[in-house]
Amino acid sequence: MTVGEAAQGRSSGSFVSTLVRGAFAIPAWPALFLLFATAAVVQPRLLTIPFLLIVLRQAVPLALVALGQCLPMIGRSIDLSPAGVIAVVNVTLALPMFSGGPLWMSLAFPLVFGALVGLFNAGLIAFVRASAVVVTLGMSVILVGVSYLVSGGAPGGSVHPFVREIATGRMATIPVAGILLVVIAAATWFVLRRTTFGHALYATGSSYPAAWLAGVSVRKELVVAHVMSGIFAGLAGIVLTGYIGTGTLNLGADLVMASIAAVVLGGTTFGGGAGGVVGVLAGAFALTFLANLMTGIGVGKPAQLIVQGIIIAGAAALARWREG
Amino acid sequence: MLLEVRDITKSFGPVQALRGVSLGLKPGSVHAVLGENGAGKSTLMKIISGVFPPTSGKISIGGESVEWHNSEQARAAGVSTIFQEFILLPNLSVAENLFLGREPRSALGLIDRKRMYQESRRILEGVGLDLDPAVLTGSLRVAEQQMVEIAKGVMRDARVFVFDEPTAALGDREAQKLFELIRKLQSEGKGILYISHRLPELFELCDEVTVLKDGQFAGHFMMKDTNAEELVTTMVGRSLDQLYPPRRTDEAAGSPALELRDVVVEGLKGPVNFTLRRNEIVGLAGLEGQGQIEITRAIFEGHTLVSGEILFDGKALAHSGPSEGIGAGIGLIPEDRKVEGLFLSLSVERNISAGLLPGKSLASVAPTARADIAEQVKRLRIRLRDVKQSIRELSGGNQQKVLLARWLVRGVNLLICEEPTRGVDIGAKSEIYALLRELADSGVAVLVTSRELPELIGLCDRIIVVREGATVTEFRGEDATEEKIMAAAIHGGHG
Repeated sequence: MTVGEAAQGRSSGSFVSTLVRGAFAIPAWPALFLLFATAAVVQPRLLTIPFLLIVLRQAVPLALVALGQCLPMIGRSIDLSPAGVIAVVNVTLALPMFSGGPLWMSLAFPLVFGALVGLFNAGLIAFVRASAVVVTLGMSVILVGVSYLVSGGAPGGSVHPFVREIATGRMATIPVAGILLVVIAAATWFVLRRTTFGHALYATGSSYPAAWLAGVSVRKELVVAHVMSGIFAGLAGIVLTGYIGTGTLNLGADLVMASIAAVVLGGTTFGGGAGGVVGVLAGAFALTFLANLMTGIGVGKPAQLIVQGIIIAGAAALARWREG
Repeated sequence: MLLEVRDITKSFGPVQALRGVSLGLKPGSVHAVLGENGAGKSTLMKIISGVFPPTSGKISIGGESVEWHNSEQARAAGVSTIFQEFILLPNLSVAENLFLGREPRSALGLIDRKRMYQESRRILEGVGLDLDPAVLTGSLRVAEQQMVEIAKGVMRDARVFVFDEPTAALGDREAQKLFELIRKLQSEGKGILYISHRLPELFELCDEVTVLKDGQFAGHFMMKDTNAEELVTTMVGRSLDQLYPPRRTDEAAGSPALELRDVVVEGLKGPVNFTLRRNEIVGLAGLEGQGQIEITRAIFEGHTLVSGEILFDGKALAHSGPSEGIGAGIGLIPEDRKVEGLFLSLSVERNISAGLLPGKSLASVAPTARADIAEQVKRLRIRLRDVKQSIRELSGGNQQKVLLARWLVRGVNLLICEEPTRGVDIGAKSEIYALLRELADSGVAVLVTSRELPELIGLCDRIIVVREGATVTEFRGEDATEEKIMAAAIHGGHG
């Protein structure tokens, strides 16, 4: 009978409604199912293995940013600065000094730069208690400005061949970037599920005052989450730069909103304290597949953006409804 | 009978929440439904208010058999339920909430705001609420929102009002106002079903009471023919004087665990002087906001003192922040369980293992302590399906036990319990008291604050009275009475 009380404690509806709420805990799964079902009818070609591997490769930059994004979001913060990090990384890697220089420079710079940006964000958020949205948005604007300066307003050039290889190469038939993503995702999964940092991050996101009183070092948690988000943005910068092979303006601008959408689809709400890596990956894949599907049936970019916006709002609403 | 439920059963999957419960509500009567958390009273209320249908059994209103599948049908039939969590929309005005879905229309088919506000004002006055109907509902105090909810029922000519623990979030004066309103509804011939844990208010308000235990009917009494003793015995199957565990009989309490000497805490006048020994439960009593919480937090978080010193295990307190306080062996169960204690979006398991995180390096593998957690869940008799279940789904008493388990799994030398049994039903209360006593017997020093004097008197070895941020006197548990404590809390000294 205690269980009965428990069961009816949250779901104010029938058994079916409980079931539906459970299935929507990670909205990415029903979304993927729906997309595949639609594709099977209108564009069966999209469901072949070679094509799915292409989608996987395309999804890598978004998935990396989203994996980074889910850390601050689990801790009830947010990071809007990846677009700026990616823009700076892109034009920097296209400088002759980097494209012609030793490989380690092209790999280390994005990660270190991303980490520093994350550290700066976190400093303002965790210690000055400034709004995460404002701080990281401001940071993004600054960095986009910096990218214009670095490129002199006329980007171009080429990038280190190995950077191109990371983004476009294949081992057997599997995209290298895809393998990279799986390895990094597995590491992130371990960090979130198994380490003290991960457990404490979920606690921080669930309730800041309760986490503080339970002895969680809430500030350190936020610092690490933002630094990691910055590093992941740097990584995404490497992969995206590798794709296009040159410097360009505003690379990655639409990734930030998409990454938030992927995280929300993956079951992490704006409220924080829930969600996980697998859901985020599914979310990123679903969004990328959606873009392909819409392109395949002749829907243009503007309409795609509209649909993406609807998905973010819908997923957030769904998450609220699920919490009752 | 105004409302009659007969042989109601309700199963959730394999679990039987109600087994053959019957109840009859007369017009013009206030009928209490009493039972521990998990006894099935919320389930019964939800069936009566149409939230879900019963598995079997009959409901009739005014002699007519009815079948409901949602709460709108119940509302239309004249049953108005005032839930603990309100379903008013916070960002609409009071008038808009009252008229939601039935707004008066002008000739053009637009909402006639003027008429809506006029009528709202009249209805609100009818329930004794002097309120601008244009004000946002979310900006109202809890008590006022409750009144608006009642007004909505009155407006729809409800015949049956169901109250689910209405005073849980109210102060004394607000509760009295609510009682007046309930009496008014009663005098108009409405039937009122009233759920509450608080026995004294049942005697003040109700005519009869139906007691549930383990999903079954356990007894029906006329309020004037029964007493608290009998009701508690019916409800939990044991009597009231067994609520508190026996105090220590030997005088030899352990060595001093905590000593406060002329302590003045930031923002309080002070001075605070008291000693807490191992094996002892000491209570801080006083009127609300006299510095009890500031004192407990100063100890737990190691605040910098204005003057004086705090000795913990004979040494000056040297920690700063909760993390280090926990590292030093102190555990805190905060007064506001939902906001400061629990991680509501996480599992029971994570809520307990959180106590093991302080002091661990962020890069280390997080301790899970599955076996220890399972052991404490069993020892504390925490009722749950699975430790991976969300903590949100547990009752208040079980949630409180989870917080206790957090510190038991870690192991502490000093446990601070602010309001150990707030919002906890009587069965879980007695379990928590027994557990605190068991902890004290095992050598832990326990410091308790509480708004409920009987609880401090029943539980504590000694009671320290705090007034305006200073300790004024202390009583031995067996000598303390509510009168003595109140006198000291109000006037200071040995009243």
